[in-house]
Amino acid sequence: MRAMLTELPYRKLTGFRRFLLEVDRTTPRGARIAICLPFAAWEGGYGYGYHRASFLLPGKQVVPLLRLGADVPAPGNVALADFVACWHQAPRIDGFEVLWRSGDGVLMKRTR
Amino acid sequence: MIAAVATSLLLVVAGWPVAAVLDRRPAPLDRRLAEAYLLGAALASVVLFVHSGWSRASLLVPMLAISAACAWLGREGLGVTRCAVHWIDLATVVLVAGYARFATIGPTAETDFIGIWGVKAKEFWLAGGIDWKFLENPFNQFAHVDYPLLVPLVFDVHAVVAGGWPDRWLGVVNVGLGIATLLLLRAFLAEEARKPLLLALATLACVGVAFAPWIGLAEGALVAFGTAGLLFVRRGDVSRGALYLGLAAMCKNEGLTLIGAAAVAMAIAGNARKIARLWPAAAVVVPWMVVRSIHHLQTDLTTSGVGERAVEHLANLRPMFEAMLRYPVGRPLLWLAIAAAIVIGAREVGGRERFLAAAIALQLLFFVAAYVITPHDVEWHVRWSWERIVDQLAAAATFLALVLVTRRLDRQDPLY
Repeated sequence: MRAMLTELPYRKLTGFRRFLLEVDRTTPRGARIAICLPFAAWEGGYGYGYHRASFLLPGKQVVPLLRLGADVPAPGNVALADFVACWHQAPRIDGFEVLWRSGDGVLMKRTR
Repeated sequence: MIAAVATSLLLVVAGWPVAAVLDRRPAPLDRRLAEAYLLGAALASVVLFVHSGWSRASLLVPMLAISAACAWLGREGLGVTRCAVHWIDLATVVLVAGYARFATIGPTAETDFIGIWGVKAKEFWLAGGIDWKFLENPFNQFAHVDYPLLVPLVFDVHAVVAGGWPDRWLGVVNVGLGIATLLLLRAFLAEEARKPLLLALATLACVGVAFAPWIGLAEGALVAFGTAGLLFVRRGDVSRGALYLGLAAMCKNEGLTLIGAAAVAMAIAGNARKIARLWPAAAVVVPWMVVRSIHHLQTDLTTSGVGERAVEHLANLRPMFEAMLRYPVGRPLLWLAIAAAIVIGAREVGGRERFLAAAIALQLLFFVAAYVITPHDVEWHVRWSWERIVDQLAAAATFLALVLVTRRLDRQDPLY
């Protein structure tokens, strides 16, 4: 029951919790981490993940790649991030390199 | 679990003398226990709010020092008087134990705990103080950064005492607040129902409304402090009620409108001259409003264009009412029973109980007004809040219904 309740809030994004716990473990305190999810709509999945990411990355600042609460891409926000955490995708982003990769996603780190 | 229980007991121990200062004479055990927990939680939150670099010592030393000073000031009121008990109370204890199991069976899975209350508590705990940079960052607006901080700070009290983030055991806060609400309802009901059987049955009937089903959210705290506030004002202890109303406003923004509802209800009940005695509510709330303003933490409902939104929504109220019908408040039997009791005791509702009935009705109107000025899609807003906010009034409404019924039953032949 405890394990089920632990996963329950993240059940719609399989492996998301496990992925972000690993992101949390491998990034320094105060890191600014862009959350990259394969959803273009805020209410269609992105907001679900973004709301939960902050709780799983305490002491770090999550950065949205959609305008908050809207279905408008905000790719420029990548410039405000030190890391990009991509769940279930691995886009190429200029200025970032892959730090590690798992079955749940990819963590990229700023190189310049 | 040991740390969670120890922290809850610590809050009772620290709050007991604070309650004694307010009373200045021995109080019934149930009421004193409830007030001690609530005031202890408030005191601990204030201590955390006013400093950073949190540690066990930085929390406990000032807290216990204030408590000791209150023990000296309120020494005449430290004692308690006995409360009547009945074997039916065992059924209440079983239900409370079941709720305690439910609340602590695992980490709270509520979306709003993860996105609003818990996330702030966790950030503050890691920062060792209020993380104003987190609250001010526009990327964190989703966490309703304008909401008052009492509830996250109570979670932090548990984290500080435990020396770690107690994921699973934060449900203990819900349990403590629920028990406090139930004990308060019982203590006030005891002033109406003299027969132990009636009192025990009335207490049993209150279990469902005293314990919030939303673990980790602020509803439980708002119900506890808000109901305490309304019931103290109802019995004429206005300043003390105002203190609790102020603390309710430190739990959720609905607590602010509850202060307004109480003030207008006092006027409706013919006590307009006593409204100034609500000043402790303002004394609690105003400092937070100032701090919130300094940090530019704006409430979504008051974003610019309130007038335009109100005109637009008032011109077409249908979507709001349709949403209220589509997403009903739940507990239909409870609300039907409350309505029936109000009909039965209509004369008293318009007389002795005018204050409480008016305060509940006015707060309901404030809820509707929030939907009228909402910047969000009305249907979305009603869907995700209507049941929860109406439930904030269930404890006070159930109390009103029970008072109306028990007074009649109490006048009849002894049940045994």
